[in-house]
Amino acid sequence: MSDGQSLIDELKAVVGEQYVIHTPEDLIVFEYDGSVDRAMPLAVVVPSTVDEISSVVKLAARHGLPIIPRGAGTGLSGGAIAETGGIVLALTRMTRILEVDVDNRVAIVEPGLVNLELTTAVSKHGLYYAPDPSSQRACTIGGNVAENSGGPHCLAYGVTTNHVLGMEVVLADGSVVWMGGKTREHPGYDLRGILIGSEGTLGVVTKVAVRLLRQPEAVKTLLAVFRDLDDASAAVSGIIGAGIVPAAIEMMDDLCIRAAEEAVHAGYPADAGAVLLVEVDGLLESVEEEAQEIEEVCLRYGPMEIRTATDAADRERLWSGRKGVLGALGRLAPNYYLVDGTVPRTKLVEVLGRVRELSTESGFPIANLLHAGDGNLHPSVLFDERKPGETQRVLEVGGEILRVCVEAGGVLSGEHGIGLEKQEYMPLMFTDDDMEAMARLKPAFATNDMFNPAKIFPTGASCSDLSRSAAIARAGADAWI
Amino acid sequence: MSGIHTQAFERVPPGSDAYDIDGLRPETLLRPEDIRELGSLLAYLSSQSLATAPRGGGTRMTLGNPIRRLDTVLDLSGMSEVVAHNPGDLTLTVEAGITFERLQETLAPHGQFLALDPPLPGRATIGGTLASGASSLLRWQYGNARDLVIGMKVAMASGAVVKSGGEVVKNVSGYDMARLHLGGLGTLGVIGEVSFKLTPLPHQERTLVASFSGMEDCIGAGVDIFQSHAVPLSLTAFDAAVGRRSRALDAEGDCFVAVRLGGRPRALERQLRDCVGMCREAGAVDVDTVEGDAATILWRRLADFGWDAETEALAAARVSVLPTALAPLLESVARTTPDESAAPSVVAQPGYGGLSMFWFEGEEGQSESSVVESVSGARALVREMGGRLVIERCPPGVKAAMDVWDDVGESLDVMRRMKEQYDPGSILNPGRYAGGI
Repeated sequence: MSDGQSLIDELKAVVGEQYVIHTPEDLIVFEYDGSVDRAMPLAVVVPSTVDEISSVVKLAARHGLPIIPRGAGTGLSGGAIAETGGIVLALTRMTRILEVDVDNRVAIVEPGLVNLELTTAVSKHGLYYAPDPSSQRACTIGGNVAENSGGPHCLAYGVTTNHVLGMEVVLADGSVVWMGGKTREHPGYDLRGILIGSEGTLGVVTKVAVRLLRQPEAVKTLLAVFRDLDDASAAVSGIIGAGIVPAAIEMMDDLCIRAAEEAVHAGYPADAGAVLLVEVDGLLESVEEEAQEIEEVCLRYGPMEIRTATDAADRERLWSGRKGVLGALGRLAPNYYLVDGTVPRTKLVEVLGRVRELSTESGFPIANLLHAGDGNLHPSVLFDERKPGETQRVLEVGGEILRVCVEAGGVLSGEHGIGLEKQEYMPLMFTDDDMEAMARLKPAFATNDMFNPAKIFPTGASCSDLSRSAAIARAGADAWI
Repeated sequence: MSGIHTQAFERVPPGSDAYDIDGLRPETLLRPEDIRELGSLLAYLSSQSLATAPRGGGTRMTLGNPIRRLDTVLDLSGMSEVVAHNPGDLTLTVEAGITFERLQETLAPHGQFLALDPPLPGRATIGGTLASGASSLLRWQYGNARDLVIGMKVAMASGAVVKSGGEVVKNVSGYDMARLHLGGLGTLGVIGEVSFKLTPLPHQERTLVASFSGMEDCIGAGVDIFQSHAVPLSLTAFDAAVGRRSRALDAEGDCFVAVRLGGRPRALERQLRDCVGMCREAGAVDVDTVEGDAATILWRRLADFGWDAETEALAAARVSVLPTALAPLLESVARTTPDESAAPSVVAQPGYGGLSMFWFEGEEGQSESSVVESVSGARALVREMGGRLVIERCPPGVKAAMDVWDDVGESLDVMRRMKEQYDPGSILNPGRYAGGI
């Protein structure tokens, strides 16, 4: 083990005194992320260059300490928690946009850049960066790469991996290599594709080359209100079945509607059982044609109301209920456990039915918010952590929901990652052989298990003993999904 | 050898060169019936240190550096079932040996398709196409296989059958292992089963072809369309030699842009109008629309160009550069190849930065050494522009002279360790991959 003070001194020599955080009172803000996991790192280092990162990695390797890369800390699966101690590498000073190549529609950015700031910066060229996780005002591009983040609009445009062309990476020996590049194709194994979604376990991403898309000519948003989730789900299938892939299809159930109504007064009917928000974008003509067809499809499922909006302010109003819903859940209960799973979208009705049963059986209200077009559901189990035993029981309900998803042909995580939260559930989806093949990536990258250790793979702890590792958020305005 | 049926083994007749790779002849042909048997066969091959080359429709056996040893060929064409098609989910799972044609025929009645369009779809299999990283003319709009694959089952050299991903379109559950096998040429494992995200067939389609008197204008028109709001399914520029050899067109001109548009009626008309306008503005000599079967044939011949019996090239390469580098690159290639008969034919994708180059036997017959010279000259120009040139087919002399994969960059060490981890005995296509992996 290392001599603590000498390590701190060495780190200070690399990045400068003020960029090494090591006293307990300062470290405490780095103890957690968007989940409720907590663990104290030995130190937090805030580098500003790739050379500094390379030096810090070499230093950590010499001291036998793990490195935990960290962006904005908005992750919901414990990916930025220093579970086994070590050095948190906070990339929040590396926020530069290094290059915007308008003609080729490529940008090269540093990992600490906030997602939305990239779109803001390139909007004057009529361009934008497509992946739009709901935390995009805070989360970083580097964090998005680690979690292969999605967002409401990934239905039509895909997730992070479809938009990242290459990245510069610091490996465990401190070497700096590019994987992929600015061009669309690259010979050799697709290491870029492997790095994306690897939750910071294989290397530290220090530059990212991303594709930029042209802003659509027109955007139209429809809000369709239904009596229940089944009708709304059937309408989703109807839209896809009509050969339309909208930019986004979002769904909320009655509990979400009630909470959102009280908080933001989006104007949803009080007796609504479900709302669908459908957005189409593209050419003026195609937006008109598709919106009309979507409306016709929705009408087949007995909607209580359909509203459409084309100008930005009206669209914002329709989205306000959806965007404000998670923060609004605090009106219903002091805490919620936000579950993330994906199922084939034709299984939504069946799976949501099981979620309702689980709610009835457990006595916990469950509010459902879905990226319905992708089959990505986010049931939020509402509870009060002050009541003894509730947290544990809620986690068990969350585990049951994941089991239901996997049994319906779905997966453990649509967009939040495995991290600490779901590592013990991996055997639900994967055999020992599957996981062994995955684990071999670590020696292939020669990580010596130094990057973000003890994540993703099961440790052998019981699934029901996960109180340390669930995304139980304190309901509040800073919550995103 | 448990789990292997006796018909899985077949001796390759000593006089047959049908399964030769780079002049080496395998002794045995292995024909697994399903992925379990594929795994069992690989476990056996590993235990005996027998080298093997996976094979689908056999359309891409020319790809790769010279294979170091070859005992068996693994013929996947018997694994050709549709495992699951869920039209409502726009997802499909198939065995690797299914051909593109059969797969698309399965989907068409449901108004869906897999948005990849490799050469020779009647023979090319899913597994072979993905493993070889074959280009698709549809990539302009729909991207590559990596944008469409959502799950995969792979038989590893150890015999273990492992899965990653799933049958849902959004998934961050464990490492995205399928990436290793897309373009991996079966050197880290053999693709057994693949799940895809599907695309609704466009309501209607229109194709326009514009002819130009020079490549610069031609690429310029493509770039203008790329910068506009139009979203073609495919946008391809090609030279007169391609038009002539492929019999794709009877139009006059030095080079052409073909634009394939799809969508609902009004949006389609608008795009057609815009694209015609942009082509004219860029200096098109002539702009025509191509309808119905003629359009289908045009796109088929363009996709098959260089690979089908009529146009089979002596050497073929795929190039990736930045979109803005395309016109200067083609200009330098033309300038440095004054002998027109030695000049490569090009099929380019402006806006995407993709380019296929084909060298044919000239009137006097291209010698092997002149092909080596032409290809390495083209690669040098591509590299100057920051791109890469992968040789997909060539005479043996070219493979002896250069790495067909080009420079894979700084991460070659990681790639080598990948091979050590997943195929320690190097039985899968030994030597054929980048850097001799």
